Amino acid sequence: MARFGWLLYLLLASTLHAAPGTRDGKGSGAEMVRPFVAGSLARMVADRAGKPFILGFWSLDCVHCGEEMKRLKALKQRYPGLDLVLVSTDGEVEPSALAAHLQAAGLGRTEQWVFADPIPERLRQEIDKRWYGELPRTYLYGRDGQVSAVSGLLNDDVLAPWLKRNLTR
Amino acid sequence: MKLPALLLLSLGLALLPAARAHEGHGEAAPRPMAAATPTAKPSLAIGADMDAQGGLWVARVEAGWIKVSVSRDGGRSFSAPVTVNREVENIYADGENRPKLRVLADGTVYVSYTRALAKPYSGMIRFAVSRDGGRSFSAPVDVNDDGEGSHRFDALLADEHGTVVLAWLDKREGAAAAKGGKTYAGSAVYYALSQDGGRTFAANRKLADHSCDCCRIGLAWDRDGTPLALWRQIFGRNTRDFALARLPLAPDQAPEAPQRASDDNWAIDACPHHGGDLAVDARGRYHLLWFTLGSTRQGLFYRHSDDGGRSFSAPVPVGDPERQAGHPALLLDGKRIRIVWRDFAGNRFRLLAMTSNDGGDHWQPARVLSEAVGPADYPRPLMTSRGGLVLWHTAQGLQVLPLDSGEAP
Repeated sequence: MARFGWLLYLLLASTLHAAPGTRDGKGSGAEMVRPFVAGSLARMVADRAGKPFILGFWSLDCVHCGEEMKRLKALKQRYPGLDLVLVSTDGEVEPSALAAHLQAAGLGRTEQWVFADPIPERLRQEIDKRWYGELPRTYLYGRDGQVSAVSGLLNDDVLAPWLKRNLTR
Repeated sequence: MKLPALLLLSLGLALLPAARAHEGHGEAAPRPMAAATPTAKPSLAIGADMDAQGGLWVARVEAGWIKVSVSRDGGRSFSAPVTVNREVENIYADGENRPKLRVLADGTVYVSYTRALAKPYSGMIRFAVSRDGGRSFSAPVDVNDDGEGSHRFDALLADEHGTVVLAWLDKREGAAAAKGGKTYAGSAVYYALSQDGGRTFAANRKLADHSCDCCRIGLAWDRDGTPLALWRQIFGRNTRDFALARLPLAPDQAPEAPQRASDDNWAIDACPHHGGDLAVDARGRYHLLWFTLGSTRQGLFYRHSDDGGRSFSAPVPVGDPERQAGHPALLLDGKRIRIVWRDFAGNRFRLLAMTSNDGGDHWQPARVLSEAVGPADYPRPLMTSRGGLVLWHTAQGLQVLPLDSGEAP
């Protein structure tokens, strides 16, 4: 029974993770955007089971997020195997607007979430007590279990060593 | 009038939609939500002021309308709200945006706010005035004089003699640079002056180039009656520390070069959405309060200057950065200086205060004044003839909290 439960969990998890990639252009895209609530990060990290990934927080009105998206798109092109997760902190917006925005930025196939709590501080407290909400904010999860946080545009100082340790082209 | 320790009350029906809109957000199921317009977003952001008779005035944003009401009983009950704008407007009321309100001794009421335009980051600086004690308001006017574009984060300062100062963050330089294929870092700080009680404003003037884009401006009167501004400036390529400058009132007087007011070394390509506050006491001491996550220091800090910003006292940390202590405000009462701020601990917002009784040289430990379950605005401190109080608009209602109770002098 325990084994079955684990299999079921894996199946569900893989289905969820596959969902963004299976999008065929139909619909508003809103169904791709998952609500990020208390506990979401813990599940996201547990699902990865130590595999490296990049967790990027952004918003529609963040001045520097357009440039950040360009850099992430280029990064994804260089490293197609990169596991990238994008979380919008916009809160009460149409999820389809978020999906459309990422689609236009060439990141439409990325796993997408949106803050779904009237108190973003509650979510930030779980993510990182020292994060005051400045955007973009990016966390680099390494296979060594280490997490690097970057406020503002991703820069090579932090990214290059992380890529070297965690990804092969 | 003795103020009770804690008044929990509602500003009428306006608060109910805000509370209702937040119900059910704990659930994980996605659902269609309102469009990303300031109009549609319920907001707890208020502007507040106290009149000479102890009337407590509050401006709030309700579904695209600025509504002003007054309490004559210390916040227990409020008058029927008076609507300021003539047509529904998309009004910025998120982050550090809020309507601004100033009430003069003769009953004149000034209101300013930023009207959002369809294009991202764009807006118009709007101003309206009541000359009949808040019973009616003039039709709001655009104060920025260059048409539609990026003008946001209005700050309002007014005296009793007809001088009105509006300062804001303006991207007209950036737009001009872009047309020439060039780039321009950040925004510029612009301001407009009225010497006739807001009937007319002189041409917009630029105070400084290259401010940060999304942090509120702190405004205060310097001892000689010159307005003084504190804002987050971009130094070098992307170091976002604070700057101070006086805003010349005389049209032929050029603004002085801004002085660096913090040396936090916060090099970041991001928008902190977190400004500072400023006050000047009767001796001319500048009191500064700001937020940074620089390499030198992180969190909220207070410092003062006795020589017009040429030198500063050592920064005093305020609040706990592990609890996201933020969005502070200053209140001066002679030599007594208050700092109020909000943090998030456990599962609640908290309202905290810290007092200095010697003009900012020494500080007493922080005190928790109140807590809130659910969303909460940043605190707004006010001086009354009976001492300081702080207004805190939470999803449960408006809290009016005296700052002087149970405190050793």
